[in-house]
Amino acid sequence: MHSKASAVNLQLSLNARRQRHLRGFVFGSILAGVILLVGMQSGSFEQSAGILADVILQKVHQQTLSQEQYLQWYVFSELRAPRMVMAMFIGALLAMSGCAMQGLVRNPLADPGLIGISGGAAAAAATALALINHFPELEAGGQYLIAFSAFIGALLAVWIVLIVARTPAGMAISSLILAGVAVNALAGTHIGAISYMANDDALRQITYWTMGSLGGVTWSKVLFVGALSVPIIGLYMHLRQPLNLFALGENEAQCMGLEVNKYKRFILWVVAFSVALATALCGIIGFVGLVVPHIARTLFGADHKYLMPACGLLGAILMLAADTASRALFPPLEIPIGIVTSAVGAPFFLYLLAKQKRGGAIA
Amino acid sequence: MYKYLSFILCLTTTFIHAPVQADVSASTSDKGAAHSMRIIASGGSITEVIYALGKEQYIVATDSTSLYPAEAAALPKLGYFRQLSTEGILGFAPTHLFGAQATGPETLATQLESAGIKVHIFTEQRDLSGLQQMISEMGQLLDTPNKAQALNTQIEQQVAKLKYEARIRSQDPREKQGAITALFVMSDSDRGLTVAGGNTVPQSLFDDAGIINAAKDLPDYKVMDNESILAANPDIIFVASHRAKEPDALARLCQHPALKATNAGRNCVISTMESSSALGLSPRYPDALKRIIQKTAAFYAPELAHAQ
Repeated sequence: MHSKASAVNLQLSLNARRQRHLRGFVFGSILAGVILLVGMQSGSFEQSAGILADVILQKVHQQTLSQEQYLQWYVFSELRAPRMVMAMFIGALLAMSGCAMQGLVRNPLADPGLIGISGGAAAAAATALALINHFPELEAGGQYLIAFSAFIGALLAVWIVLIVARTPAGMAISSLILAGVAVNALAGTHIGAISYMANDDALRQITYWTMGSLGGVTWSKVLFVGALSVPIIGLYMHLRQPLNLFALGENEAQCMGLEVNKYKRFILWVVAFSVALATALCGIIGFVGLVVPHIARTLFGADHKYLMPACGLLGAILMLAADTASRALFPPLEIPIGIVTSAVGAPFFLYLLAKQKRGGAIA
Repeated sequence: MYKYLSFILCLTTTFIHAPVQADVSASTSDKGAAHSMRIIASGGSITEVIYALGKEQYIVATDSTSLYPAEAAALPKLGYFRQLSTEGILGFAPTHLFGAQATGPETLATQLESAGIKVHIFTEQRDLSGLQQMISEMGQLLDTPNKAQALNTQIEQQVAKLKYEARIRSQDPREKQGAITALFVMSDSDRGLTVAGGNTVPQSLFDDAGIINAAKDLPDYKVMDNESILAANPDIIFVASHRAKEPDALARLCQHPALKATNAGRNCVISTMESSSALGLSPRYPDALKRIIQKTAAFYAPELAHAQ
């Protein structure tokens, strides 16, 4: 009788939790919508919802636009809309990769940058920038060369880390993190050497690249990232159960039937691929992967079943808000988005460390 | 639920500033002059040339390096010219963007052209002929070719006169026996001096003044280590004025470990050069050259050292 009552109570509590999380997701989606609306109207170019609605209606009815209306349409459709969509994809990818990374190493202070992804991307991008500056004939396809190099650089860094961290007994998390530190140091040295040799132009471009920006986003880039993001997000959703098992400890996960080493490698490659994609196209956007999983854990708990989609949603929201802020805070200037996210993320990280020091558990 | 509320409150604060918009009052106030150009000038040289051609009334905004003349410094600023925001520019409803070579980011020109704005990026050769080329191109773009021609002639005559007065016969200082060596310092730190190497405006000024650039083998602006500076042993140092604002800056620089044992350091032969005319292409090129020639005249033509 007693156990039956407990089972009923557990079921009720699970239902209540599901209800609460569902409300959270609905609320998050509404919030994303609100920020989208605010973001559409914020920026250096004056654009109100009313005028924009008029222009869109005219466009729908295929009426000819005046020069002023064309500008309104252009700013909305070619400048703001693609970067807002991109911000959501990149935010979701970065946050979900952070969630997977923290789940895998069972350390809430883990960040995808830990295994050298951003360092490798930056080193390769800096090399490409310096090469383009030295060989002007490369300039035509410059942005693609930079993105491609950054992508390859990121994956190469992870590959080196994985090789170094491999032991006969499988992959040790501690070796993984130490190898990441070494690869990051190597990447830093490489960037330093390139910067020292680079000319004034290349040097500044390298600096700006590392700050991250959504300024050059076009619809073709959004389509490219979108087409790759959808399956990656699907993979992250598939990884929720293994990550929950990892939370029990590697041995326990193994006992529960999880192929620990296989999943470890798989998760790391998915993380590497998604962060490499984001970094290649938008530069280094720090702290989203670190901070968002924490906020999500506070709101939705530690169960990856809810945590993973919550991270995706919150990552998208945070990046949308950061992009809006980067455009709207100091018009006509645009602050690189990497600076906005770091400005929010770094103090939050310090807060987490301080909380840990006081003996409090980190969420 | 309070967690959600605090979260939304947090985000709301981000948007408090959101309605702040660029000052676009100018864009709506002159609708009558629909045919006027509305120019975004990106790069100090570009802005200065537009002013020199008397077309400054068309400039609606500039980048943060456009600080000369003083009126240009008061124009709305769009940030650093290598990293301009497309939306920030469009907020001023411009018709044209005239930009220095490094104007960016890469996607800027394409985005602005798609929005119907004419973009012209100047290829800058960092010497007198590069300056003249830029003035001629700008004259064409602003429909004042005659004025541009007159300005070019004036600059050319001034430079020729200065070179004659300084009795400089050789165009290539490296072939000239006994030519003095100068170093242009852009900034200093205890780790070394950032100096103007080859392919810079100071290099061109030194060439025209018939003196050797101690850093000619370095490309662009680079940190030159102390030993290399001692080996090059410059006779005179020029410092960008923005780095020598405090009264004892020059005396302090003479004591820099890299400089104090050189010819220039021992006698503290050091002069400031106005940064915007000495570091970038400017119609004030002859003024910069004049200053260099005056300051170096004592080495080879003592009677000109005090001439104006």
